[in-house]
Amino acid sequence: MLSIKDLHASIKDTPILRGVNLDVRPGEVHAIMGPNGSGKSTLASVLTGRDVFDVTAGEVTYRGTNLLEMSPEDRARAGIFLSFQYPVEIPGVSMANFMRLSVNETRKYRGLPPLSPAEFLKKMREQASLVELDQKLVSRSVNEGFSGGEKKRNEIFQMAMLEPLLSILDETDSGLDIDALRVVAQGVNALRSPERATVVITHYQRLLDYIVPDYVHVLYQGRIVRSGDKSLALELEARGYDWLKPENNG
Amino acid sequence: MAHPDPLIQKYLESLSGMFADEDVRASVLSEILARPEDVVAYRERYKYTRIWEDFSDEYFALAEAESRVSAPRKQVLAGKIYSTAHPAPGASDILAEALTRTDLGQGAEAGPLAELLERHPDMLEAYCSFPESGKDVFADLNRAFATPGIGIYIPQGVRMQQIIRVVRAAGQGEMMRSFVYLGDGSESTLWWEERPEGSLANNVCHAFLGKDARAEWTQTFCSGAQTLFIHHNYVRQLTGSRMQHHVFNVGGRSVRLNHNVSLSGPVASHESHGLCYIGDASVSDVDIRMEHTASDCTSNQLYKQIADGNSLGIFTGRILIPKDSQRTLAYQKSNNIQLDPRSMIRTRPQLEIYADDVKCSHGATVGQLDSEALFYLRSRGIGLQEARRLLLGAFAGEVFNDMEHPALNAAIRQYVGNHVLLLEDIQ
Repeated sequence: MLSIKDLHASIKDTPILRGVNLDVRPGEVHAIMGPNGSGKSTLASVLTGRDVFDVTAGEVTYRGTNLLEMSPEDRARAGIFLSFQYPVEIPGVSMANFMRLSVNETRKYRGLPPLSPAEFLKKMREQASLVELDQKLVSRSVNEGFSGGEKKRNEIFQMAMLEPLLSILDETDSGLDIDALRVVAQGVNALRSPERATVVITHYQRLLDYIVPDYVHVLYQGRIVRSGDKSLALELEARGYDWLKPENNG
Repeated sequence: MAHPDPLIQKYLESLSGMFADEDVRASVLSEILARPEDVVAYRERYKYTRIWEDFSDEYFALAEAESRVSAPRKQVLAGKIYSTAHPAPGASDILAEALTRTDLGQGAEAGPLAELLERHPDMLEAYCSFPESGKDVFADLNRAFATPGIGIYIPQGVRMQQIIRVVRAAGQGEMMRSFVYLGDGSESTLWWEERPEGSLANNVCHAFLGKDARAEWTQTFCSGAQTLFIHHNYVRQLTGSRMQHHVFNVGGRSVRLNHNVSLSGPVASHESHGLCYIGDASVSDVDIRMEHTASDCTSNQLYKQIADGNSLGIFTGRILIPKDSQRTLAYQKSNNIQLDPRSMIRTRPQLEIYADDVKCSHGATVGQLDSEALFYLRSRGIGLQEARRLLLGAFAGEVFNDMEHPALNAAIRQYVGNHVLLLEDIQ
């Protein structure tokens, strides 16, 4: 589904990613862990097309096409979803209008007819209850005045609305209390299927108790320095990152 | 028959004189020319638009030429008046040419100003209560050459259910004076639409709100690509009156709006909201003067400009609070978006506060569309153009928030969206 080969990316001539290799197949859940500043969020941004980063080398193929040539909107329409680490507040744009446009643009790209207002509202209600997102929030402006936890639930709500094939969750657990974490994880798990893949970026093993990964990767200084199964996350929790740093491995 | 009030009688006798009588013209012109120190103030007030540099010669040449001929240049009053429940008028709505006096029901009237002033002494008295000198060279020139424009008369206590809509197409070189009279305790909703067509128009509109009168007054300006359009509002509000004023400038080479408000009685309030879309090679210059002449009044200015292409947007917001106008609340906000790096925004708050017990604030922002918000929308599958439209619509939307008449609100959103394609999605 997603194949990243020797990906290099920089921001204003400062290299961040220095040769990332990763393959994600349908149905898989990959966790990417790593210390602050290792390039985790940059990887998420490059995959979704944020233009402040320059890709200087390497290639990314998504379902057989060159992902890096696609606009951010086309990547989304083709089924890539980013749950933002810091969801953006957009005063004056209502959640309902935003989601209606978003869902129908995505459907159009996939050759489906737009949802009728009634179908759309029904879907909104169903998916909002999936992540226990207060219906009142759905009638407000995008993320405006939402608490940190509500913003994260809203990300998962949008994910549920858009039914992506590849979800990238960028530190969705940061700023969540235990209950909110459970709810968000339930939302993510409800969407798991053999066709869909998920990349979970996180600092902590805790989220991975709820969203159990097939693979765990450690990103350090712009490279994946270690890959393993979920036991790697537990080991990281116990030992920290230092033992994985190349300079400590001779 | 003589009017019992000698003052009013005097004005009635000189009614034509109020509008560009030869003597008036000569005296106004000599007044302007005799005040060289004011020219400095004019220049300051118009410093960013170059209207002064570009057109003052033209005006003074015109003034000189006109002052030598005995018969004033003929100006034809053109325009239409509707009274309608739905702002997009249907065939059954009352519609009148502005040259004909029209009965709007309950004693309310619209039509040629001179005729209305003659019929309604209270209206005339209110008209005379405005100070003659506008302290503005273009307003003074209008006074020198003006002919009567449209009058609207809403008697005391009358609540107009219908929207009164005026559609004006100013002719070449037009200088007209219109007057909206809103009697004590009256309530009305007006949509005043200006579509100047010639290369130059310089109009004045007075609005008077009697005690506890309430008015929602929306002005839309859409001038031709070659038009220099100067418009002056003079609003005078008595005790307890309330006006919600909205202005939308959606086109034209060069538009200058002077919106002068005098809160002359206690507990009056004025909301002044505006949205200007300034296209390539255009200039919009809005100048607000909010004078809190009485105590316990409230004013609120909210002006938003969207500058596209190689354009210039200017906002000057003045708040004047004399020392006896205690317990004043006066707020001002100027928000601006530049869609093109060649565009320029100038925004000037001018607060002059002499009273102690006041709450005032002013703030200005100038920026581009939020790139984080654009990316967020795009990352959900919304295309770049659509995302820009959503964000601009959201930016513009705040201006409509306190437009209370639902049909007018919807109609103006549509009107602005139709003229500014980028704003189709005003929420």
